[in-house]
Amino acid sequence: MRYGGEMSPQLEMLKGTLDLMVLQTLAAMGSLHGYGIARRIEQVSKDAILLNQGTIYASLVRLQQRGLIRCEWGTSDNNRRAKFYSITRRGSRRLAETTENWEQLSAVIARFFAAQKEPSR
Amino acid sequence: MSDAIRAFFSRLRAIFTKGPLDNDFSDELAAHLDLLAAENEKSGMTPDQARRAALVRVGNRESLREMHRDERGLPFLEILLQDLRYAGRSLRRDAGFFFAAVLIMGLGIGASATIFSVVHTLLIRPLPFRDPGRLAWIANHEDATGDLSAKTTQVDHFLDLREKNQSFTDMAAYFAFYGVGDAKLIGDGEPERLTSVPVSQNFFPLLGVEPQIGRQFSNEECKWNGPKAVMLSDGLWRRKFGADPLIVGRALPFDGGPATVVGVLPASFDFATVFAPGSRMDIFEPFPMSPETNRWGNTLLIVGRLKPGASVKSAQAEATILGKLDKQSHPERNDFAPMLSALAEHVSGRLRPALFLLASAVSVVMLIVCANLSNLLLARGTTRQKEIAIRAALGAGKGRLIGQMLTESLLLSSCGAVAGLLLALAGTRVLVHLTAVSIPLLADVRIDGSVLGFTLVVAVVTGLIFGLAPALQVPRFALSDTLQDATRGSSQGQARSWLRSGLVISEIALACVLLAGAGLLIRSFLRVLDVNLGFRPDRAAALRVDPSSAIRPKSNVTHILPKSCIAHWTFPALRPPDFPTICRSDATEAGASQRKAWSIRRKIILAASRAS
Repeated sequence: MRYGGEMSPQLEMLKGTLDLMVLQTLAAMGSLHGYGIARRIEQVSKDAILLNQGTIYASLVRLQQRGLIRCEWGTSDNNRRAKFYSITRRGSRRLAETTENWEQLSAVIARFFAAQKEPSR
Repeated sequence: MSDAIRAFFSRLRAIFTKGPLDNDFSDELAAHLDLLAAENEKSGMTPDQARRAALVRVGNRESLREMHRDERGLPFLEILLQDLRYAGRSLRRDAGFFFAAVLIMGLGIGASATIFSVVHTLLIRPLPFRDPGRLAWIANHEDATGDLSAKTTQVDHFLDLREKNQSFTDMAAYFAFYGVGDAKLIGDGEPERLTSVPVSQNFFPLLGVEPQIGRQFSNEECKWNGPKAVMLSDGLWRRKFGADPLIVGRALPFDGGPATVVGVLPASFDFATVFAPGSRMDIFEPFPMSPETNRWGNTLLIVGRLKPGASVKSAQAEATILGKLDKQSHPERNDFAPMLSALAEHVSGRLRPALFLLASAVSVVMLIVCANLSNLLLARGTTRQKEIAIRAALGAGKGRLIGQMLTESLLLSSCGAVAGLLLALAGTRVLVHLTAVSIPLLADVRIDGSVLGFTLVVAVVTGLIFGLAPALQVPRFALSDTLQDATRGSSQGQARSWLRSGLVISEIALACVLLAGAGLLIRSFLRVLDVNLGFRPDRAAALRVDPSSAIRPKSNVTHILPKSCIAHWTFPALRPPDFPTICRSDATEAGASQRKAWSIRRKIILAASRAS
């Protein structure tokens, strides 16, 4: 097997993060092709997430298989045939839930680290 | 539907649409590159530069495709399918080997599945009654004696024990001395002998058996000289009455007078298979628990349902005391020493050693099958050295090669399992229709889910066992010198020849064990056949004549009736018996009806010899 069945926890989390970003991008921008999504994530994250643009397609397959996004072939701005992705209702619901969890978690962690930094009296 | 399930199904779907999905992704990547290159050109690159920059930015397309495939499909399953296809192709090339292996496997698995279905029915599957674990068998004295009247209980003892005990929710009984074929259905057409079992009123409710149509026996019907009522077995109802639902309420003409059908028992209830293996019960009539039947002496066989919390052991302790007290306060009654056992134990307990022997024999057969196939595969492995070496040279890992070999042996064992199941189906069908042997529950033996599960496990385990030795040879074959010089192959086979001779030796050793066991069994069987019966059974036939109880005096029955039978002899194929060779033999009747000295009716068996 080329990609071993066991994944490191970091990689697993990175995948989840990427999936969440793709969902958020589609929720914000409506229908987009793979290239557009990759561009958008690069811009927003300042190239911190994508090693290369092709990785985005793994995420798109995962989201599609879970019924969170759907796709159809269409024509791009410069008349090129491309596959366009958009978020489903299930996807929007999932995004809302995950965002909430994520925000709570990051708030807790932020508070936790802030508290540790204060000098103990 | 959860994400995981959704993803699994779409991954599964993706395996079967591999080609289109690959093309689709290639198109998508091409579009991506075009868009990126166009963007790059806008920022001032030459078309060439723009294209190259785009290729770098997107990443290696081949590895992206691999990633896409792994992400959308089930890599494990795809490899398995690939291996299966490959195994199928290589086995097709070697059809002789394939059929031999499947035949060997099929015989082994067929035998073990058949024996397992018997073991499962007799020892594992609960009896076909409601909550059968709480049912107990209550015999009188020791259950080991052959004499039925020493095992049965008098009516008053039964009634007392039933009333006074604290361990049972209820007890029911049936009359042990029913006569096989004693109930004669007359009326339209040919009269037919039926077997009727008298049972206590609560017999069916206690076992949890509800009539499929009609009702249970009423209080009135269970009184001495009460209205005559019968319940029909499902078999009789279908065979004789065409499953007519209007049968309930009809009076059937029996030789002893008409009896009303009150209900039809469900097909799932088979009295004979549990209580009197090897026979067939057609109807059931109520048995009155009255002073009259009490006078008949020991007649009842008892089944009790234990209260929750009560065990056979505690109930036994109580019943022993109650039995003694009863006998003390009623010295006029027969002896009563209740012996309890779990009903399942009573039904099939005595067969346990025999089944264990059979199961062991079958396991030995299975081991021989494994050793045999292992050897065949090893021999085959030698001819495949080059192929394996080439695959290894092309980059197949050891794990992958071993997996491939194991897939092949599993494919073989699965094909063997299918063949085996067909054999087992035939085998169980034969077993079910064996009427000459009296093994309880035999009619219930069938191939069901558990037998299928068992076969699957056996197939996988044997596949792994016999595939392991050949598969572990693979890494050695994968060495490159196999490729360089296969003619030197004979010198490297030291370890393998050890393995193969070990297999052959164990095979022969196991076969010897089986042969010796089978030989001893056959010897004992021949001894049984050799028992001197006192007559020559090969040319003899038995005719049964039931004289009417109206013939008086009784001596006429044994003296005059046989004479008149012979005088009116109408069987051309049979020579009439010489007069003295008439035996009055009730004790040799099949089934549980060993007659007692007080036998109300008498039967005459005429021994006739076949005219040559």
